[in-house]
Amino acid sequence: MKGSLGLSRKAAVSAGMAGAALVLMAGGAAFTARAAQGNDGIEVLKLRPDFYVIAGAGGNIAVQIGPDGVLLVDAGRAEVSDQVVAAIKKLTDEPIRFILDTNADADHVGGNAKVAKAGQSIFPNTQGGNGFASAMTNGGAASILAPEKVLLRMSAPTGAVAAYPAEAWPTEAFYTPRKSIYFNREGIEIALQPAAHTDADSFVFFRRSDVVAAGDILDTTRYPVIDVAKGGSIKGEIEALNRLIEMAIPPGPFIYQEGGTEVMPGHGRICSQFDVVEYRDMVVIIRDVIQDMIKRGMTLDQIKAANPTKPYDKEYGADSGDWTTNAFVEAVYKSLTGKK
Amino acid sequence: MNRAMFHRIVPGCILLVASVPGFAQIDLSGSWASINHEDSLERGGGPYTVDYAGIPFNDNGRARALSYSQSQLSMPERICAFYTPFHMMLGPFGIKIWNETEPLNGRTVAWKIGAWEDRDTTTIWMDGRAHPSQYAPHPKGGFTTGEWDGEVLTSTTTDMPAGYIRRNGSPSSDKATMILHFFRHGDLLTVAGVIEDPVNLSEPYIITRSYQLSTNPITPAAAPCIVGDEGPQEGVVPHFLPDKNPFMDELTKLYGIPREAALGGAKTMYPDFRKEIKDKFVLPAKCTLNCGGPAGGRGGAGAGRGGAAAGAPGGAPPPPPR
Repeated sequence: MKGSLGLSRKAAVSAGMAGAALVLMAGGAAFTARAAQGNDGIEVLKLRPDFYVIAGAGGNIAVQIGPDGVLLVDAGRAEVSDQVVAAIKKLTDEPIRFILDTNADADHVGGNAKVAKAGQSIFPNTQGGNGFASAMTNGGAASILAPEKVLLRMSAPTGAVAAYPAEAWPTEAFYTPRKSIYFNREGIEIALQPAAHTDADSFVFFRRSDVVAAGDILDTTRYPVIDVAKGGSIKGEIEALNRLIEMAIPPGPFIYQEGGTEVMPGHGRICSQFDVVEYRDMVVIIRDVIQDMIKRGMTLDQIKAANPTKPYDKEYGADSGDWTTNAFVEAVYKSLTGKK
Repeated sequence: MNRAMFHRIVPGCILLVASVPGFAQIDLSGSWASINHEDSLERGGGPYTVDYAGIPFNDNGRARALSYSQSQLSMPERICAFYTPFHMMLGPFGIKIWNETEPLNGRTVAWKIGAWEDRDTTTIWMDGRAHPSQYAPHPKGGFTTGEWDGEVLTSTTTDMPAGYIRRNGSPSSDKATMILHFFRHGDLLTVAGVIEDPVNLSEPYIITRSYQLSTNPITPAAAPCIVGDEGPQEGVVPHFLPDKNPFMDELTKLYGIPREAALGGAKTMYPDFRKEIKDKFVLPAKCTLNCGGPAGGRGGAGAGRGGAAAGAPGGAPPPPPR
């Protein structure tokens, strides 16, 4: 007896059983993002059917792929742009169309220029060459979207030296608290967080993929970097984390099913809403402890000596590097007291 | 005892005394009812708020535990959160175990420990697959692989969310690793668990528990959960400030147990610690709570905490450390 595919009954049964086994074996993998690691330390994780994360290239990079092309959240460090572009080309032949920057730090926007140039603007460049349209589309490169404050931090007034070359600057800056685009048949919201890590942070929420790119407001590898000099504050950081918890939805009422919103931090592993709650709670508790010490009249040095972050230092603390535990305590103290 | 010694010696000792079938890879499937004699209070009503005795906390882990308020369980963001897979070793419930096989050759691809209302399914993959990337999400059930060492199944779980290793807020981090050894002796199943947590513990934490094979089926189904209003507003995090935990001396007041024992640490796991605190222990005049022992002893009301954890009313106070 032959089945509809021309297989004998025995072969069909065997094929079905083998298929069932494959499904069974794949079942566990569905819970975890699959990763491919290159020799350069860059890893590519598949989060959704058309949604990837590139880790290890500085800040995490989100990659949304579809018929409209490739949309990235952040571009990583400049030094690894070639590897980032190569990793994207392994995923798809579609051109990079957009980069959305979550802040103006070098590990997020350093790759803007090279990665954008590897892409192609969605705007037709009918004149080609160096004409007006070419200038309007950044030489035909992919567009770079960011809040205006990211542009202000990356650029400089005429005559002054900018932090980044013009080709890395956002081509589409906005100053509204919310910006949205519809790309690859998906609603994408950019939500400005006005005073958290800096004054130029934003979340990027992919509605259909159900993924939020949180930028450096969420950094699972260390205490949140609160750059008070650039407009960051502990109050804004906590408000932003609360907002992130609101945006992310856990799997409920069927909590035994895997799923729920995935949150891509600026650095570190992919998080669930619960992971963000853990992180937010840590920040709130440390804020409360330092606030209490300030109320009791303790100076900054006394507070540092009292080690208000002790319960969390093994997990998030650092004695060296660009963001030490003391730097975090100092940032919280300064933003609570208003002292410079 | 270091980790390597534990994993060699403990299975060996148990195998020596156990009567096991003479073939490797025994069947673990079935409904296993929980035997809650061991650590009865722990698995019933739950431990005292500041009872960390026997937990090898480092200073950070202890500080974090002391900042914990039970009211966190009522936070809207936490009401429907599961416990980690380690809760199998802590909770009062039985477990359902079954295997999933490859249809063509019958090979076991995975052992499953069914979900319960407070923890997710644990899938023990037996096909040698790699553990996930350091950047991958941590599912509620973690990620587990297993291998047989004779008749002992050893599973290794990583990629768990943060959680607790005792039901009083004793923390475990998302970097913790849990190793379980499953020993079957006829209708008895002993599980020896070792949890290592570089964030909160200075040494491996070891706990065992036992199950009895049951003909009453255990249904491996977690319950749905809808967040209700239990008091705390969203964004508020109940906790205790440093040195302000009101339960710090609860065990001392109730049982005369020295604070240094209640606060845990690696040394509290070892027998020699009893000698260290022997002179600090003061037998209370009267036992008032969870007294255990026969009824009619010199304890007081003996008010239990409910469930299997409740001591016999009127029982004697716990014996002094020896």
